[in-house]
Amino acid sequence: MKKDVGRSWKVFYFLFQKELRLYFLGTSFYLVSAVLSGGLFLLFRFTYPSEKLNQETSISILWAVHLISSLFSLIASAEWEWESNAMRAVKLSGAEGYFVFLSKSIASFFSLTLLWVLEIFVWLVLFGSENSSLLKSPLNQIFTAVVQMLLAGAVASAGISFLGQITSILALHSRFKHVLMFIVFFPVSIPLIIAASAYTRIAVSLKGLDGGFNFISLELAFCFFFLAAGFVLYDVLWEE
Amino acid sequence: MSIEYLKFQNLQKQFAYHRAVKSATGCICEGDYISLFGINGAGKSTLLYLLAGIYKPDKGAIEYGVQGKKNFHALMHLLSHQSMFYARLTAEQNLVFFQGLYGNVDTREILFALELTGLSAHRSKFIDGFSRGMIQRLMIARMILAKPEFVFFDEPFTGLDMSGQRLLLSIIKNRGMENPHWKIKGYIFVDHDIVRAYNFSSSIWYIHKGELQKPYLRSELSIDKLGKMLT
Repeated sequence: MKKDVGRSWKVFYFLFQKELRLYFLGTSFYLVSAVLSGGLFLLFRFTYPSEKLNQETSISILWAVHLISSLFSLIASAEWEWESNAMRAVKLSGAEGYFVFLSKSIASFFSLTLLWVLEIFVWLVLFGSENSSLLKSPLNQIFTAVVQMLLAGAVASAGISFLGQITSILALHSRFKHVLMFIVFFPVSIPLIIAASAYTRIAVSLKGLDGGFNFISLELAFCFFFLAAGFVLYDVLWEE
Repeated sequence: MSIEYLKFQNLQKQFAYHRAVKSATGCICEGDYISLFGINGAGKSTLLYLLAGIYKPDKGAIEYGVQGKKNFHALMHLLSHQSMFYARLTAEQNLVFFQGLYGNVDTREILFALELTGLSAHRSKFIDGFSRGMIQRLMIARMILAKPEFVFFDEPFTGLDMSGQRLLLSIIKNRGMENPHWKIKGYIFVDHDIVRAYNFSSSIWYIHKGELQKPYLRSELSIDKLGKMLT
């Protein structure tokens, strides 16, 4: 007999393990990361006039690439649910909605943060000349800047994950799934991306922690808002 | 005294402009082996999904017995003609995942269920390469692992070959299994084979144009009369 259904962290563990398997053992995540992120960076690098490219624009490019590839990565993961109706079986098992939301969000956070790390690396390679002031700095300053960039990316990835899981469950029962993902996700994520890119600018301009607090706070507020919204709304949005 | 699993009143469900279920009232107790009949589009699957808790009714109410909704979910299972598996996981990974949600993972039980359903050789294969019948067999394996007290059968024979049908028939006929020990204490059965569904029922529900009629005991309704109702 089934027991303790949906009321234990063991359920969370199985949900989370399943999500990680789908992310990292499948091909869609790697394809999205390599083709989309890599392709977009190359596109911007070779289509944008070199004389107009500077550190500021390269940061905007970095965040545009991260936002677009994150959205496609989220859509790829949402497809696992959309194509299979497996969420119905999960629901019938009695699993609590907030466990499902949390497990999907955390798995998505890991994958998007990993994507961000890879993107920073490719970005520094392709846009090194625009960021020469950063790369020629003393090692400890580069280290601080990279840590700040990782922080900005990790917090933004968490926000994107929480928002992404809410929009993907919202789209689950819609006939216009992909369109809905775009039109809900994009406008709502803009404040997060503005704050994250502003914090990144402060990081690469080697100003240390001066002035960055407001932007990282804004990112964190965004995360907490959508984390709370997911906890409260996921069960309701899950209903068909 | 038998347990009342759930009681429902005036259930309604609409999809876009189509009212799939217009009015459904009834109750389900332990020991109810119900066959639900109706022509195509009458609302059988929608009613089943409403009662199982997949769909939320637009109007009306479902009252769960003493066990409450969550516990009812814990002791019921839906064996449908829809896959409800993750295509990018293997057969075994899917079963481990769902058994994990049901309770404790027991690898021996999973291997036994795969063997029973004839899927041992395919346990490490991804579901997206499975035929319709193999997916249905895997659904049966998942049901065996869940060992539910109450089952919603929604066209469960879809895609099954002869041996698959024999396995499922024996589960329904014996109302469970000896090994592993598991007793089905009630079900609702939707099947397009009228004779099979009629023979496996203790009572009969008939839904017509989204309206669930008064239930019959099997002795009150001959199969001929039922056949006429469905034509």
